[in-house]
Amino acid sequence: MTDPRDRILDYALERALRDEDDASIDQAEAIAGAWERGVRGSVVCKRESGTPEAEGDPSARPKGTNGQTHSAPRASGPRPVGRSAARERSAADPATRPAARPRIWSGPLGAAAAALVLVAGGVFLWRGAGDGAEGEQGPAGGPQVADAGPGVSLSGGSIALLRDDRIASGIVPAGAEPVALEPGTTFWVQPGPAARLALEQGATFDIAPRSLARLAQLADGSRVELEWGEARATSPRAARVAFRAADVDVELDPGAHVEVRATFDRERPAPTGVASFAALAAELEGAPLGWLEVSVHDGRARIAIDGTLTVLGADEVAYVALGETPELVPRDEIEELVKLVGLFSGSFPYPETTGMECARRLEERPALWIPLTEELLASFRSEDTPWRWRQELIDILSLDPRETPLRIAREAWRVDPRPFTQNQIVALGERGVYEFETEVHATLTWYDTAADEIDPLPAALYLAVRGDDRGVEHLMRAAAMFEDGSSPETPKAVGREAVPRALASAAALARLGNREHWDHVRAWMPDAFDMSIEIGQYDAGLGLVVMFESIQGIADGAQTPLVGQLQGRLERRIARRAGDFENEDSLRAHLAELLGE
Amino acid sequence: MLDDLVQDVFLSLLSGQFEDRGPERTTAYLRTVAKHLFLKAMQRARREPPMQDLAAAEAAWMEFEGSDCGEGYLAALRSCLARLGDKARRTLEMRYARSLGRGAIASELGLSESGVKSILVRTRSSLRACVERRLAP
Repeated sequence: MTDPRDRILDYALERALRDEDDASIDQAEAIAGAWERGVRGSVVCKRESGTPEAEGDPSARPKGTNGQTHSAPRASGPRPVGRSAARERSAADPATRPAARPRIWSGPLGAAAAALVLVAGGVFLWRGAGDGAEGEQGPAGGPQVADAGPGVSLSGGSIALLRDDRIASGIVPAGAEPVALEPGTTFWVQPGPAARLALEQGATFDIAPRSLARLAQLADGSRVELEWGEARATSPRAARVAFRAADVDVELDPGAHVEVRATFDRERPAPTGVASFAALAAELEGAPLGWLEVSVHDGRARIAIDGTLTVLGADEVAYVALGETPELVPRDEIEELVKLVGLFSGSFPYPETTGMECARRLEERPALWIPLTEELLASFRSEDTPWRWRQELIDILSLDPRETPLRIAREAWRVDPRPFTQNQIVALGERGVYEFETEVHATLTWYDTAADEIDPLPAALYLAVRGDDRGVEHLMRAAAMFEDGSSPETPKAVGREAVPRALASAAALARLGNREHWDHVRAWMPDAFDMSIEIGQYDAGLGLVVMFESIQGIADGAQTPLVGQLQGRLERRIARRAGDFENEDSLRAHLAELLGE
Repeated sequence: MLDDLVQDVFLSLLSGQFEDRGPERTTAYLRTVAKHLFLKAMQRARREPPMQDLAAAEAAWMEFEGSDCGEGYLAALRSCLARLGDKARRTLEMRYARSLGRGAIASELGLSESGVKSILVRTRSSLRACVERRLAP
């Protein structure tokens, strides 16, 4: 094994033998340039003999951004792979190459970009839209109205258009002349400036970057449908305007000004071209779980859901949980839940009922994950938040199959992986999240000896059902406890906490084709049950029978084991089935039936 | 592989919502991400991850970094370098500051390649011993 201290000495010698400022050569510019071209940064970093540097001639080396020398990026290099290759292909395909668009950042750069687009087409910049971490917020300030063309026109931001599953106009760059839109056109506003849609009635819709909207044709005129993202709608003084936001109808009184935000339970979309945003539009038609916020700034608006009207006045907000059946969510409910989440910070002792209440509400109305994302993450990040709440939260996150909880779980892992239990890590790994899969592998490697304080059984189960030899080996050691010094006549007194472990191991091995241990379990069960009843442990007997009932399906291959959820499911099943048995005789009879006796 | 791994670490960082909590925690975070990505790469290549190596490397790095981002180690190293003979010093400079290969160094110094290798091995060994003596409590 290489001594790491030698590697550290090498690193320190490099730093010490160059000037203090040369200690780390800044290749940021060269590497960023390499990424833009779709080439791996390693091409930039490699130094080979034959380059001027290798010949020892400092004057032949190109200078970097801080005056330091570095290798020049090679004109041709290794064939790019993976993400780099995808970007290179995307850049080369004219159908998918994004139009040049100014990046909108805050500060002086944002102001310069704003000046450019204002000069180009009189469009305005969206204020406070999108994800601030991605730098899409423009400088604060009111909109500058673009001239509305005849009919329905779209102008402003960089827009991808799709008509009836075909490309209508491809990509319209930011600042171009207004484009006349036909009904049935779907458009995606790309990152950058907002777009303005002007309707015949004089209504205007300012559509934020990263928004998806559609122009529909009605008997009385056009209607805008916001499928994803944010829009501000303004109705003219002489007419009402109605539009649809994610399957909810919103009607503006004359002169009203309304803002809507539609978010869905999926990864934040980043379509790279018309094909991918057509796929997004198709997916949203299936009414996935989502969240709608409607805020009235001026005037009045009505929200219609399944024929029920809700009227909003100025400065009022309404929330709608989207899905199969959109549902208005009282503002009080949101505020109360936000307050509940905030209670965890600094609470001692741990507010047990508050934790259960939060969990219950999130399970009953999963759309709440979306508006509560930032609150929950802030709660997790706070150093005052009790450990218990972090673990409870991770529990709920790891078991919820939706995208939003998964995103929150991944972010929580980045913040602090310590509260995550092994079952939770395995549950998240089973959803294909790479950092948790990696952790599962590492867990079995680190804690695979009998002396280790952590029992890596969930990790071993997860790996074993995927054919990993290390996992299988660990399971065989766990399942062997039924056989050590025992026989069906004198069953080994197995420790209570070890039973589920051993049962699951034997079942998993049977599923993989090795039924030897499971046969031992079947032979062991009746006497183990009788012993529990004899010593007055009815609950233990009940647990044994229900566990066997649950895990038998895994052994027989009838069920695919979800390892991360196994323990929780067993506990809940035992609680549920308790009422199905009158006494030990009925339990005994049921066990006999399960064993086929 | 190392350069690609470094790039992937920073891509991973940029694609997530990284929160800067100071240099020490940032470097620890980056090392953790790198370790996970390395293990994943090993898994894909169906190679057994050398966990003992990783643990030893982590421990050695923590020792180097100490509480001053390695400045103490570097100061000790510089004073040990000052005590080297001319040939040894020049050999190290060509190897570490100019990244020359053994062939180029040998040519410049009028030595054989094996002679250069021998100088490098002996000099590094004595430097490491010198630094560790200076840093010993």
